[in-house]
Amino acid sequence: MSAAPYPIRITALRARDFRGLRGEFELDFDRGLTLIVGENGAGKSSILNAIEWALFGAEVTKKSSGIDERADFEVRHRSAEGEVSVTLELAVDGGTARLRRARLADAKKTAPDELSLELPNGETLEGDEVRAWMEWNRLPDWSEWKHAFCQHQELLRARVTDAGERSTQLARLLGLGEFQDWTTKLRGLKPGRLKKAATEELERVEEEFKHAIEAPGLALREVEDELEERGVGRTELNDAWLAARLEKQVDEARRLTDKLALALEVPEAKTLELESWSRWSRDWERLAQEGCRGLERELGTLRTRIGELESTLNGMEPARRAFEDAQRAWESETQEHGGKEQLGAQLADLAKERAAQVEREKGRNATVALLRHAVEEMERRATGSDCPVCETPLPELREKLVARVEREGGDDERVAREALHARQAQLERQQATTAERRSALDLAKSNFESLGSRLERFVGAGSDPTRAAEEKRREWMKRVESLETVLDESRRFLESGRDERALLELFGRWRTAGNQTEAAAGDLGRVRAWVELQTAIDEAASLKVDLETLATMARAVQESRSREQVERVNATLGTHTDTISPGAGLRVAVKATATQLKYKLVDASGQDAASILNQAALHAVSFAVLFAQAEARAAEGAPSWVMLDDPGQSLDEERIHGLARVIGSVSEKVSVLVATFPGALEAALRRQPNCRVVELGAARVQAGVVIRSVTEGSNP
Amino acid sequence: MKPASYRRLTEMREQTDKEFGKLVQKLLAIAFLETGVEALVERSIQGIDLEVTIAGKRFAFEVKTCEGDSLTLGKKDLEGLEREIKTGAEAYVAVLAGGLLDEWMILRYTPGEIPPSKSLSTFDLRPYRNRELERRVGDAFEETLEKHAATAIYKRQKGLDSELERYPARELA
Repeated sequence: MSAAPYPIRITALRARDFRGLRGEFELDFDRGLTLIVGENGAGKSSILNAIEWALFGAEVTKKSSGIDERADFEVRHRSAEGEVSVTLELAVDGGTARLRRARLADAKKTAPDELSLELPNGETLEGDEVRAWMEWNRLPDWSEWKHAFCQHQELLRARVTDAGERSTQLARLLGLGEFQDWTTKLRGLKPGRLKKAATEELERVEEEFKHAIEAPGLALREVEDELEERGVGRTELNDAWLAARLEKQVDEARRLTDKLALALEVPEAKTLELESWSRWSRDWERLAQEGCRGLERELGTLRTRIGELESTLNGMEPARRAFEDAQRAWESETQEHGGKEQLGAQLADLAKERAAQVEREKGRNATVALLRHAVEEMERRATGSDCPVCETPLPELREKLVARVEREGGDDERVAREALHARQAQLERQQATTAERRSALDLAKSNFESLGSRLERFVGAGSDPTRAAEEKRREWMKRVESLETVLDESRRFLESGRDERALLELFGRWRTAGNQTEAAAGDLGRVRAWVELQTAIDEAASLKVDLETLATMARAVQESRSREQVERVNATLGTHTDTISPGAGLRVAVKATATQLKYKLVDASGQDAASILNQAALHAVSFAVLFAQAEARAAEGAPSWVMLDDPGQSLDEERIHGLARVIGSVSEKVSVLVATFPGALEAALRRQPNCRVVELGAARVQAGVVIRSVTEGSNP
Repeated sequence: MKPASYRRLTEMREQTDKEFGKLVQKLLAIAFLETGVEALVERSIQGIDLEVTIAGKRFAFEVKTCEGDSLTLGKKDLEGLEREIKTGAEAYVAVLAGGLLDEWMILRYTPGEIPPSKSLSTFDLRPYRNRELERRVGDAFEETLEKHAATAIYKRQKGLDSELERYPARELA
């Protein structure tokens, strides 16, 4: 924030029933140095308290005010009724502004004060508007006030003895208090905690999230493991995978549906959901099995017919050859020995010949018997050569008869008979052979013709039934092959289809389990609490980064300005310190760390001085720092005044004089309000130019604070 | 991120090891193409990882994956982004951490605000998030991951390059 256009200062205090200030109380501060003198209980502190309460309200009275003695004090006078108020008149650009804080005397402690500001132009600001106005005009906040505008006894030594406090005060002294405050405040905000808190919160949510999806996640992993065992990795699982598998299944089913001639409509794969496909595929499987059984029956019939056809075809050639052989054999036989008729005729002739021969033989046998009888009679009668019948002598009759017997009774007839017999036997054999050949021929012919008829039954009558049969056989074989292929493909598809269905149904389970997991997880992007948490974390991160950036920037600027300021301030600080406590020879040194700058008090040799300062020196340095700060503020045109509550404690007379001189010097640039007891400091300050002395009366609670006298210093 | 996407990414990370970052980069490129960008250049070797033109505006992305909650941006990465800014592009660092609840963080890069070669907390980078770009590509990335995780694992960069080639908006580096 840029500097206010006018260095605001307090010019008067108007109080009503504030603590010790009973009724209406007024005090002007229009001189550089206002010295309030009074005994214990005269009301000095009430005046200082009133200024602070008007400026900071409850900040002053609460327990965490940082000044124990002022915490929790009552703001009202014990006798107060109605309203308690304090008004500070401020010299501002354009005239006088009136800052007023008020509350009802019997208001509850938690009830807010009424804060208003009347500007010179008549405009009135209230509440936060007043605080904004104060901030804009660089009026201090409570923290800055108690450290850099006001010397409280409690904080006096801490300003030097506490390293942090000392560094803060030195930074203020260097005009870098804001930077120091920023870095301190920013560090105090501990931006790292934001990250830690956010991280912890995210971890907590993640744990809850994990817990929420644990059970469905377990089921999901089981299905995924099962799928992995089937060779499907979890990263492959998606709708595209399913669509591709379904399409493949449906395409194959469609192809086989046509081949199996199934009466089932095949849907488009793209229109199918897993569940509808599963139902459809079961129907298809049932029909396909029936179709396969039909094909098997057809195949069986076809194979039987092919077997018959092949058997017929295979028999045709041998039958033909047998027929031709029989034909040839029969023809050869008949050509050689004549046919059946010729042989019959021969046999008939032979029979006649044999009959004739039998007759001949019978006649010869009778002749031989007669001749033998004649011979025998001739011998018995011893007739010689007489005829036994007629007894007529016939020379050599007997010899002739014997010769005739021998001739007629010889082997000729037997031989002839045997020749005829043999001839008959031969003819009969030839006849049998011919008959056999004929029979064989008939059989072969019949067989051949029977096969031909069978072929005709397969292929119909035609010029070349064998060829037609061959073609038919090829046609059937092709059909068999086709049917076998379809059956084979169908069986394989049925088998693989069952596996595939099981796999895809497993995919369905995976998807269900996945959906359950997702449902358990919820769509975080739509969960308001999650979105809000994300936003909060983003904001926390922004804040952290901003804080760190600001701290870094503040540190960088502070470091840069520190170098410029140190020398200038050291001169003032040295003067004040030496004036109060001669010989201290202190100066400010800057120590830079990675995150902040620390200011130290060092002696002439550059060694840390705070740790070796005695009580008086501590006080001297503390005042010196406070005064130097005030002067630096005044030099910048910022509001600047100093309020000192009994500053003479722990100082010997020499140092009290030194302090008075410094206060006098400072009051030329800065409004100074000093409250003290009557005594050495009072006397020394009275001698300072520009001093107004306000003497308070003795303490009287019922009457409240009483201003006994107001006297101007030597150089108004 | 959906638990399923988280599991896919985890498996991808386990199985692809050093290639994981490049695979994620290509998946992000596909995701951008799926959202209908006008032009996209994806580089696997040198230069800025992704250049995307959306509604006539050029965006340059350095893509990073990390397992924990911190990452490091190399000097060359940042110099590349700065060069893109000089040519009129908006420069971003796209970060995908490996946690169950992690989403894409698309971080606007402003020169000087992110130091190079230094471990950066993803928490600290949150203020630079461009929620609109994250929304634009987040869902698309999960869908892309579902579609192409297997390709990424089994066919690696070449497989994803083939997928990238299918998009007319994809330009060769």
